[in-house]
Amino acid sequence: MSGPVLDVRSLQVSYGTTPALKGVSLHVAPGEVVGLVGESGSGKSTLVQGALRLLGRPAVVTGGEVLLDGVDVLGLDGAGLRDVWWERVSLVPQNALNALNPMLTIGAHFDDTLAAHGVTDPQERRRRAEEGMALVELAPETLESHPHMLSGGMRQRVGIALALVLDPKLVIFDEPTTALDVVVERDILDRIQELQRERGFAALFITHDISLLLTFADRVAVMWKGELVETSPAAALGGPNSHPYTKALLAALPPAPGADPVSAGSEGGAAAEPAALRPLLEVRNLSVQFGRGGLFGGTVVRAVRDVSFDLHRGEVLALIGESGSGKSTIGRVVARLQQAHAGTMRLDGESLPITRNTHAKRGLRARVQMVFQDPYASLNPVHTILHHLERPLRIYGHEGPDVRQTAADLLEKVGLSPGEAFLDRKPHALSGGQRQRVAIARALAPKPSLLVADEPTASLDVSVRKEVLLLLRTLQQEQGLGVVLITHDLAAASWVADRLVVLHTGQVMEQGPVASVVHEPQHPYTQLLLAAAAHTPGPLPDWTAEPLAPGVSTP
Amino acid sequence: MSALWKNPQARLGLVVFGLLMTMALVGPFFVGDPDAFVARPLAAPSMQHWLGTTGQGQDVLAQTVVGARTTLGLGVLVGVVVVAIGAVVGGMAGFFGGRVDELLSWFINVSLVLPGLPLMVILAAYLPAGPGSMAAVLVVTGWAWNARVVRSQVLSLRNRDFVDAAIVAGEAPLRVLVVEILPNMASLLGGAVIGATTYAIGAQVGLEFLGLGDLGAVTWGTNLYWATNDSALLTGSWWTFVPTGAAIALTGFSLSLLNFGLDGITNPVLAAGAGTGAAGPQPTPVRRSP
Amino acid sequence: MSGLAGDLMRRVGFYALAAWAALTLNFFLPRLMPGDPASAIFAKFQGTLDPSALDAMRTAFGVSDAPLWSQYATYLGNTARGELGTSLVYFPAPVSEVIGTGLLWTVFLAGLSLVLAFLVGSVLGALAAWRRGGVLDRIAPPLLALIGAFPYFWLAMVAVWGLGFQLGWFPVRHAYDVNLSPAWSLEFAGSLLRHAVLPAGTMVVASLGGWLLTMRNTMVGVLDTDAIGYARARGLPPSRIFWHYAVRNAMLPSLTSFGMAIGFVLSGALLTEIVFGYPGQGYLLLQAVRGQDYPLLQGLFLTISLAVLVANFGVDILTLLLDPRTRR
Repeated sequence: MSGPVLDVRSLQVSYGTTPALKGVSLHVAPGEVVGLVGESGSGKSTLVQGALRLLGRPAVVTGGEVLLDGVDVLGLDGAGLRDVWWERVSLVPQNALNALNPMLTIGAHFDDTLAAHGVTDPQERRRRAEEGMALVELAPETLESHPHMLSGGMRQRVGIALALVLDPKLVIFDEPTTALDVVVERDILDRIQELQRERGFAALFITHDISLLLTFADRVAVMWKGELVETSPAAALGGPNSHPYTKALLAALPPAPGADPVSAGSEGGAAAEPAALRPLLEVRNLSVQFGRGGLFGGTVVRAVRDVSFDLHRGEVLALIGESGSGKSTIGRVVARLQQAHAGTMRLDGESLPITRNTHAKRGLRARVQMVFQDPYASLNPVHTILHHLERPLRIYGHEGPDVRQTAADLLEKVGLSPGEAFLDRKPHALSGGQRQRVAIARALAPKPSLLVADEPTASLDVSVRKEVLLLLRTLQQEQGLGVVLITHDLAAASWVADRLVVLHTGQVMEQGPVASVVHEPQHPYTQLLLAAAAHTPGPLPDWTAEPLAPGVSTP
Repeated sequence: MSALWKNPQARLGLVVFGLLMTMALVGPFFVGDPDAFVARPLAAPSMQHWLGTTGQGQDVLAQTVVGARTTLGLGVLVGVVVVAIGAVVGGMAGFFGGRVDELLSWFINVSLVLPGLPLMVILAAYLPAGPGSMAAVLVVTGWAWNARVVRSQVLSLRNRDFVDAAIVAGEAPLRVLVVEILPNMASLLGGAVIGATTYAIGAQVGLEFLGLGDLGAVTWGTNLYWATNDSALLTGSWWTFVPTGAAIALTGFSLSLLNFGLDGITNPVLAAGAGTGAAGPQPTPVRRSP
Repeated sequence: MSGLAGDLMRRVGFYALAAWAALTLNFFLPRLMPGDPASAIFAKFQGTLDPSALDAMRTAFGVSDAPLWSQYATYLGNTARGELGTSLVYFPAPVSEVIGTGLLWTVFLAGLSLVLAFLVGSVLGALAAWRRGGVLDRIAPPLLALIGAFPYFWLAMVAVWGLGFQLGWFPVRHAYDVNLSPAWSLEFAGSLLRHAVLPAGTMVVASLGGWLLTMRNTMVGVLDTDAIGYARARGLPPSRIFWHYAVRNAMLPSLTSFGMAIGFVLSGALLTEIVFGYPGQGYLLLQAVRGQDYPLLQGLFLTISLAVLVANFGVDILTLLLDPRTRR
């Protein structure tokens, strides 16, 4: 048996004087698939790019050894590295749109790569480029296209073909599907798996999504804060000897659809009361268009088509769909940030206009509040936390000198304690989870009856997601709010929501109580989504019982 | 501000510009009447007249120091006004979008694409000579660039979620623009004022050099106008135009140092001094500590 | 193809509207100025000019009883036929003829220095970014910023005085030796070039810094993109990465700012012409200002504006053609 293709021995990397990688060892055997998992900032990209010496300033390798197919990478100069790169190891980028040169055709990318590695005959280069296209099931004419003309899925395929064009022994996949929709993601992953089996290259697969690796990798390495905390066979992951962080990662995964949702019963909320027979929010035949047909043939995108649904008081309604399904657009229309072009909405029986409303207005405006996806973007970096809470309080009629106290109370309510301590800080001094709590507190300030939460956990680290969803659910039950939860995560939605609305290309595919949609999906698209989400193998720890493992939970 | 002071380039710029402004404010009290006939015309620098005399026998040092007052004063004033107008027009275009943006953008782009100097010359030729007319001419021809810069910045900021969040929180549109968006571009606006001041000084000097503006007043521009008119080049009397030119350049240079420094702070990626001077991106260096 | 055609149509539409705006501005300016300058000027020249010249001014300023819209229509018609009135300084030559004598000189001198400065500045800027922190990167930007801080015409004055009068290396007046008459001869071409060295040189030196910084900063951004890292990982040689992956992508934004700056740099070029007595539009501008030749002044405004619009249109089209993303 020959040695490993990649052998990293206690590699240390610093950014300037800040250590980012604290002595990491990892090896990949020929033909082996190794998964590398960790949250953003855990050092997984630093490990790979540092080992290959692709990191730019101010990164420095401060110790360790890297053997690539027997070659000492840390001992090479620029010219030596150029020979090793791509011939022995290649990369599939996270987002090929950014990685490909917009000015060059796909063919030119192949041509440049092959020419750089000694293929002097242009016809030979062309032949091998066409072979590469065939490998990823793309037509040879694709070589004549520029990157912007291809779809996201096609571009990732190009990235894979380019990575295989010199037949390297090791291919590194750097989150190759995170920028893609679930269904396309499935296709690409299947193709990668087939190719790996056919051609037998070793693969190092980087991802933040541990569930992806469980079916795919031979071994999984888990990184946390610049260290490799665990390496074990995929099947043994999460066993009794697992590192607490690995357990936390697994526990933070929503259960596979079909597990008992926490809120299946009708306890909490006012769903049983007769007054609630009238829905809190009625949406009827809503349609939204983007763009307009101009003199020179502009295109119109019908983002939302004829969508209707009801939301009852004290209920969580999840709008489920991939990007482009129109779910966020619907949320923005309800929050009156976006104009619809047809349809009606009623809030608690009162007509809610479908026009964009940028004017401060009491009443209806106060009653619909919104929590945005990214708390780094939804809080204004120049203002204090107090400003963010004080403004809606004042605008919606809070009077008197105790506005500071009220703001602090709001913070306590969302779990930031003591609230007073946060008021004079600016957003950048808070962690992602804390910011999202502030954003939720701000949305609660006007005492709304309806909360629109647009992917409130998508930009948070996995370990914080569950806490934030739990908080939303708790607040919703305490205050009898109606919540429209917008998400692409079917598993999370079926855990937290009472009812689901499945959207695709702006249309409702199916809607109903969580249990019936998940257990007896009627529409083929729902079945597809369920299948795509079902690659989380059981048995997983019962994550509904306890929050994260102590000592690991993020502040 | 303290970050600006810590940046060596910006600090040098601040000091030099501060000295020039002090000279403009206080200097005229020390140098005497710049219009007075004090010595033989076109006398070379001497102990009595450090920078020599002009073709009219006036003291060049006095003319340079007194000229700073009008030129710098008008420059800074126009710089601020031009950015304020640019912020309002560009801010509205970027924030309101749609038809408002289409109309304002068209207006901005046309104003930008028309060459400044000929328009300035026509305006200055028709308007009565004086600082008011000069300021008006500079504002009319100078606002558009800032409006464009502000518009594109507002355009990118208005799609931030915190703007939508403020709208949902009930803020009125103008308040969103002024309280939520504009404070996020403080350094951009500061840089714009610096750039606009540089522009205003340069354009003002150029117009006066052409013979437009109030030729009776002592400014840096008229100094240069009279220098050429009195055949300074033919007679080789370099001292009649070098001091004023050096003062203009020093002003411009200190302002661009200030802007470099500002850039370095807001956009550290661009700062000079980063990098090793090696050609192209280099492999990650290996420095094993013993 | 509809993407490119649509973009083209939009550009044509914009520049047509901009040209109309310049025309209209030119018409209304003398009529809107405070204190009715037209009549004032008119009164001033009464008696010093012969009646036909006064007639020419009457037409130019619309000192007539016809309603505004009919004056406007007459004006547009006249302009379309190239009739811009009669010059006062060069009486009785028509304005269009006077401008015609200077147009080619300005296009030659300003065009030459603009393109030269852009190309040299961009290449230097690209190299400075490529060798971040190298000698060029540390010295060129502040040095050129210092030079760029001097007014163009002042640098021109120093050049005339130092390199012209003191050292006598280059001729300092006019576009060619006045003893020669324009001809397709080697001698004339040589004289032409020798006369262009100082004015073009000052303009290039003065505007180099701007292009260098623009290109450098765009390049720094481009060098930081995934596309460069990906090209490097594929083992491409540095020269290939520099030209085809970095410069090619940084060139487009640089070209766009080139378009935006044409008008600005031209303004400096006009003042430089004056210092060198170069017989272009700038020189005519000075004559028009000194002689209060308002018809010539307005004719110059119109011509220069339209020339800048045409140049901008050209740059825009070039940008469109060079960017594959505009093609579908």
